[in-house]
Amino acid sequence: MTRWALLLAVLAVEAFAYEIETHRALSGAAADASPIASPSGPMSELGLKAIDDGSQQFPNSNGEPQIARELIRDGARFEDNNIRPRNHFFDPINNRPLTVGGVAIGATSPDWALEDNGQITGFLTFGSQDFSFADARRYFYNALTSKSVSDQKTSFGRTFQTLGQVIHHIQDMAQPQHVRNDPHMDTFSLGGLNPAYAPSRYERYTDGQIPNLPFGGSEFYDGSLPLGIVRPRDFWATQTQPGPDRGTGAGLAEFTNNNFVSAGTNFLLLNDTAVPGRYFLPLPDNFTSQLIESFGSDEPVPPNVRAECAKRAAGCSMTFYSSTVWDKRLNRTYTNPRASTLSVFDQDLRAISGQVTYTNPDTGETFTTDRLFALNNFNFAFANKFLIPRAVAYSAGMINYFFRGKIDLVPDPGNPAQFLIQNLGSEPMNGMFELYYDALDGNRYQVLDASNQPLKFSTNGDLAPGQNLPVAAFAPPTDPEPKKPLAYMLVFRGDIGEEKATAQTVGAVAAKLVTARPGLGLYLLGVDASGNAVTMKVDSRGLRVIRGLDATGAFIQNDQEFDPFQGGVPRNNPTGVVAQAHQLKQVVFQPSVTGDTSYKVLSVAVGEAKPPIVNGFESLPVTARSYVLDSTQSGLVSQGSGASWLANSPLGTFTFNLTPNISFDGFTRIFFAAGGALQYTLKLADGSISTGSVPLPPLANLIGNYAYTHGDYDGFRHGTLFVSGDGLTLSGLKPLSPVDNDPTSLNINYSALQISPTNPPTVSLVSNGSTKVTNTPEVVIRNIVTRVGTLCANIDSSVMTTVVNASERFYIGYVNNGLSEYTRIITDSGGFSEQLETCTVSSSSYTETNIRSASGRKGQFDYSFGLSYADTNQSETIGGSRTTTTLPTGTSTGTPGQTTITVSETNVVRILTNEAKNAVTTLQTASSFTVPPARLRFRGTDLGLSEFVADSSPLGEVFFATSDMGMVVHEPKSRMPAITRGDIPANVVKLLAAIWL
Amino acid sequence: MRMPNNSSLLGILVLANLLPLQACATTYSAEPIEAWVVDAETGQPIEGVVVTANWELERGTVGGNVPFGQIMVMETVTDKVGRFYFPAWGPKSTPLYVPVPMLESSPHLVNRDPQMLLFKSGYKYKRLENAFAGDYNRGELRRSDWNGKTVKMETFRGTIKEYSAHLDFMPLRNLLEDCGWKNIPRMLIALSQQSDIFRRNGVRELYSIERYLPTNVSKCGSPQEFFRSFKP
Repeated sequence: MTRWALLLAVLAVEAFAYEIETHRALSGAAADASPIASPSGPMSELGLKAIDDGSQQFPNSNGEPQIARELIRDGARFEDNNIRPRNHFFDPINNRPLTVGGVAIGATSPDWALEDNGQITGFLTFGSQDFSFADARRYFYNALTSKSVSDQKTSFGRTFQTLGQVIHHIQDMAQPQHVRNDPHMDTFSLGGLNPAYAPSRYERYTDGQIPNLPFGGSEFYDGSLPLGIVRPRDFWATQTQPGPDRGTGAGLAEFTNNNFVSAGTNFLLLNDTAVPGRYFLPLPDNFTSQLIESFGSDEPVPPNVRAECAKRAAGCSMTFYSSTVWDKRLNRTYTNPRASTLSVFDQDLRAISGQVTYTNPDTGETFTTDRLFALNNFNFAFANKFLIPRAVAYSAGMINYFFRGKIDLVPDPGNPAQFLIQNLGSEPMNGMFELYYDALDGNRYQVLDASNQPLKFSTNGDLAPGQNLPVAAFAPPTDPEPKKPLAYMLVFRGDIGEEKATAQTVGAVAAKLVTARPGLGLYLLGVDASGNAVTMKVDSRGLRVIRGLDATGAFIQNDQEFDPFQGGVPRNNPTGVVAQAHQLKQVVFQPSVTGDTSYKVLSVAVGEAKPPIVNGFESLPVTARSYVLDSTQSGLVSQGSGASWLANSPLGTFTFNLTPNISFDGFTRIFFAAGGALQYTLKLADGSISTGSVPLPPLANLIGNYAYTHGDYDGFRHGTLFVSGDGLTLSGLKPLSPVDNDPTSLNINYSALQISPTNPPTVSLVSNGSTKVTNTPEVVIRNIVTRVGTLCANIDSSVMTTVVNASERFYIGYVNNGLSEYTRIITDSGGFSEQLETCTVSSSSYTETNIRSASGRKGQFDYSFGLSYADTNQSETIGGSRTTTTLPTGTSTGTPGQTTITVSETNVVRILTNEAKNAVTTLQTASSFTVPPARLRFRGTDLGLSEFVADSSPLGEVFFATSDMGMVVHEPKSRMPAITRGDIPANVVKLLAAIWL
Repeated sequence: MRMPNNSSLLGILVLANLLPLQACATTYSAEPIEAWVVDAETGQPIEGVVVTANWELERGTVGGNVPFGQIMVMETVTDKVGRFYFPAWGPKSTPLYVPVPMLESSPHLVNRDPQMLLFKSGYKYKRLENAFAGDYNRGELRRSDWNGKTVKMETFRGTIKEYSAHLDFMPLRNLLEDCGWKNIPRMLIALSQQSDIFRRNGVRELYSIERYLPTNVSKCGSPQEFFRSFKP
């Protein structure tokens, strides 16, 4: 054997492999690219924090606490423990593991990593496999169902670590020699006797490139499952039978085997012609020769190498052979311009001395040459471009595959006595659902049925994608007491698609933390062209008609479905559109099972009828239909008219009801607060009922019960009073004072009605003072007043620049776990402050367009629009309702003139959340006493004279739409899909109301 | 339940008989290392660069080399002229290990003798090791290719998120094994301070001493306690 023959014998067993740090980098990139890195992804659905949240750690198999991402990355290290690497090979063409001399050294990579062909127990546990995909499933199931938190954490740790170990294998499949039966081992060559000896260059090269490796992009992985992957084994090979057909497979082992040579399976040079080596693919395509001047960025070819090159005919030039890279998954072909190198350089870029002999494997004929096919850094750099992004993509795909089961538990809208388990994935599910809950004692328990047996729901065959499994409502567990009422871990085990359970494995596992509570959402009221009401509901399933004619003309009426507009349609006014349909909405917040804030609507009062407008004021008492959560918390039930809400107390649950007593008297509405009474019903703990009424205290500082604004209990009618989650505080009472109409003096002490939950209850007024809620957004309303022309020649221009600023507080409601308010800033930048008239007025020439004030009183903005102006003798209104007034002759001095006034004013007409951008406003500009209608504006868009409907959820989610649906803004933050005009049935021509519950 | 197939067992047995058992301990020593760190753009020396040097043993397997712990770990900080220095050490023996014949080799040093990691906030981390070739140094006396050299560190140009992603690649994990974090306190303090900056900016944190440092507390003690009493 010549020296080169010996060298080739050694080279023949060199293998590619990725080192641990490379695996860690690949696994980290895969975890980041996979859905588990998404804030709303599987981690969130399992009630876990983000994969890189340092405050959430699980122990690895060495007992070291780690974050989830690190556990996945550490799978790289654990998978190389002991003699596990012997199982990291898979030749898809021949369906064989690492094989030397016809003898199998280990299991194939998929057999080992998946254990889908049976468990591998080893010999006396030596060589056993406890970190396979099947094991990961078992750990995952245990993490979800174990009683103690410690066991859950341990199992979650094993789950993530094992996932890391599984994707270590997938990454190995992106290393040519792992799929072309090329082992490699460092040290102990023993003169060539050790066929596994071959220190690796490629892995060191790749390891050194880590920060700059091409980890991929959306071209390789867009977050969805790789096409054609239906079984775990498909990540390795999709062709089920070994042989040349594997050339058409989309598995990663197939891709790498078919498209890349390895040192031991490199091209051969037979009779000066490059041919494939041990495998029939890839084929050497074109070749280009290049004189190599440098071995690196700043490493010129050493002189001794050049001297050695000079002895060869080929010199120091390298001939790079290209090959075609065919990606079956992406159905694309590429050219790898540097698949292999033919030159006088070996893999360490050292010039060889001597001859190289190649043998035709078919004929045994030998060919001698002074050039060598070798793989060096120039080839490795291009191999990385193809292999690294796919290693990441398939690894991310495997993580996605593991967590692909999507399930949910939702109320059955057609039957309040049952829930629906939803298969939200893309594959059929066949198996069993179980329910668990966390108790106050810190442990997790399975929910039991009426017979004290674990509650289980069988799919009884395939539950198709998108299909629901109806399950009977169950009694919430009470012993041990739940930590978070109505919160459950819904767990599935069994078959998902082609991933099947066996007698030894749990099969596919899917889970989600769910809340089994009545399903509410966004309710819309519309009308069709004939004026028929259509009630729609938007929830996690999208938009659907729950009452009325749908787009197909079918009449929908489901008496089991809660319909807040069932009690009455607010369409008695000329247009029927109500900007705020509810008058009360009681919300209780609680930490959600996913760590966010969730809420529950305890009560809502919906306007039954919008009264006609008479002289700009509502003409009739307005009542409301109230709904409160029933005692079983299965749904909202009607409480009749008025405003009703619930309050929990040690005695039991109060139901309060307040029927505003409002009369109409010309331009003044009067609410007889002192005569009102709060009705209550108390269901005591022993089941007995106590009822009665409590007089409401009069509000302080009322001026003869005179109310221009919603400053008294009348606020119940306008949605400006708010009931706390515990039902014991009514906030937003704003007593009126003599200065309330002065925009410069809006320093109002807010009050709250405080209820003591005794039997009978007591009610008192408490002052909220002027303390503002922090983080209050401000909406600036600018009243821009422009004066054109001359009123008087000697007018004092300094007063024109006086700026009047005022602020006014409004409560929005309970948003994001607190009572939010906003402050409206009024800025009069025109200077209509004190304006003393000094003109000489001739009665014959003076017109009503003059304005003046003899008293020096401040100009004030009318609450509706425009600038009111008054002195002791007369009043004028600029804008609004204009009156003609001739100033008394001789009361002033100076040159009479004429003034044209332009007033531009923004008004907030609806506040949806505590963000200024979510304020609905109107803009009205009056000039020369021409007062056009106010123009609607939202998010900076001029909506003309449109009407609108709007509401927000207690979490601050926004719905806004013009009644003609020309603009629809829907911004859910939860699982509810955002709707557009196209989602609203075509037969609905107008929206009348919206309520988000 | 599935046992290894017959051909697999046979292969192990046949190959096992080809070679004698290769259980042996190797004794290593290392020469001192002295080098200088400068800014790649300005050429000015950089003071305060934390430098770790770890001589990592590797175990050969048929699937490639895997780490087998550190035979020596050192740490220092560059001075005003950017100089750092690691003294000579040894002789020191590798742990006794009985490899599976033909499937493994005994722990030995390859070209990471040592691997040096350099970090200073604002710069790209630097990883230095000896050049690799098939006939790497197999002797008992180790020397670094970087001895007497000048190392250039580049300023990191990018967002803070990109800087976090860059440092996330820093191959530090193996140095933390077996309570190894106690050997590199300066590096971990520097990274922890950097991690605090990342966290305050809503960017992924690194090895934060206060929030996250992988360790077995029962075996190694509390990292927080260790660093609280650490005097550089």
